[in-house]
Amino acid sequence: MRISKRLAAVAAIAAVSGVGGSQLLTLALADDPPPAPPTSTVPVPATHDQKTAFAVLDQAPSTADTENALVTRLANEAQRGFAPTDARIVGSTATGPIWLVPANGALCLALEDTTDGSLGASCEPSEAVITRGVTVGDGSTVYGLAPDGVTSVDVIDAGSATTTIDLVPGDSVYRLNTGHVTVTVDGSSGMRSFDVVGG
Amino acid sequence: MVCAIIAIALLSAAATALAGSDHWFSGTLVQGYGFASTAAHSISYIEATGNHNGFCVAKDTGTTGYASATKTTAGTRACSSSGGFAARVENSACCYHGWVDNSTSNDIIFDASTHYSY
Repeated sequence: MRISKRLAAVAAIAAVSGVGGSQLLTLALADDPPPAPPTSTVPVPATHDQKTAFAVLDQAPSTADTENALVTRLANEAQRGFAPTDARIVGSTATGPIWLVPANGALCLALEDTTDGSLGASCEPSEAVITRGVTVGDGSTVYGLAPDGVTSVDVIDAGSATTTIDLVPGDSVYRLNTGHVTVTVDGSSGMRSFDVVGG
Repeated sequence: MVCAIIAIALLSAAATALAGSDHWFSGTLVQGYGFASTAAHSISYIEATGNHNGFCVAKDTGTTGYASATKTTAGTRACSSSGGFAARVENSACCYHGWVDNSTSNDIIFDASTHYSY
C-alpha cells in the first residue's frame, strides 16, 4: 500500500519527536483537504485579499468575461456563494475558457467545455489559494493557477525528480499530466508546497 | 388571459415535480473504484465533497454501482486535484447516471452533500 508523502513526513516527524499514536492520528487528519465552500444563497464577491493575489479579479470584465452563463448556472445550482459577475477568464483549454471564480470563503478554478455546454470546477478555501494557487482536473490533465508574481512552479514526482515549469507573464496557468506530485510555489507569501493528484 | 395563467401555473408545477436531486453516494470509496447511481436522469448539476483530493465526478451511461475508477465516462470529469470539493454543470441531456471515482492510492470518504440535480 502506498503512503502519501505528507503522511510519510508526519510519521517521520513523529518518530524523531516522540509523538504518540493519538497525536499522530491528529496530525494525519490535519492532512485532509479542506471542506466545500459553505452554503450561501447570495453571491459572495471577490475579497480585497483575493484581488491582491489575483489582480484580474480587480479588473473590469472583458466581453468574454460577461459570457458567463455556465458560471451563473453553477452559482444557481450550487448555492455556495459563487459570484458570476466577479468571475474572470484566466486561460483556455482546447475546449473552452478557464475561469477563476470567487465563492463563499473560497476561490475556484473552472473548465468550460463549449462543445457540450458543461463546466467543471474545483474549489479551495481562499486563504490557501491566495498563497499557492488552485487546481482543477478533467481526468487527464490538471490545470493549476499560480498567484500573481509567481514566475515558475516546481513539480516533484513520485520518484523525487523535480521539474520546473516556467510561467509566461500574463499566463499563470500551468498543466500537469502526472498522477501524484508535489507542487511548490514561491510567491509573495513565501514558499508553499501541496499535493496534486490526478491527470 | 385566465387560461394562460392557469396553463403557466400547471407547467411550472409540472417542472417542479420533475426536478429533483439524488444523493447517490456517501461514505468510503476505496482506491481504484468509482460508483454510478442507480437512477438515470437529465442531469443539470453534480457535486461531491471528499476528505482526500484526487477524486472526480462526471455523468455516465452503462452499468450502475461499482466499476473501475479509470473507466471511460460519458461526460468529462471534474476533479478535485488539490482540494476537497468538485462540481459540474451539465447540459441536462437525457439520461445519465451520476458518477464519482477514486483513482488515487487512498480510500476517500465522501460526505452526505454529494449529489446530482435533474
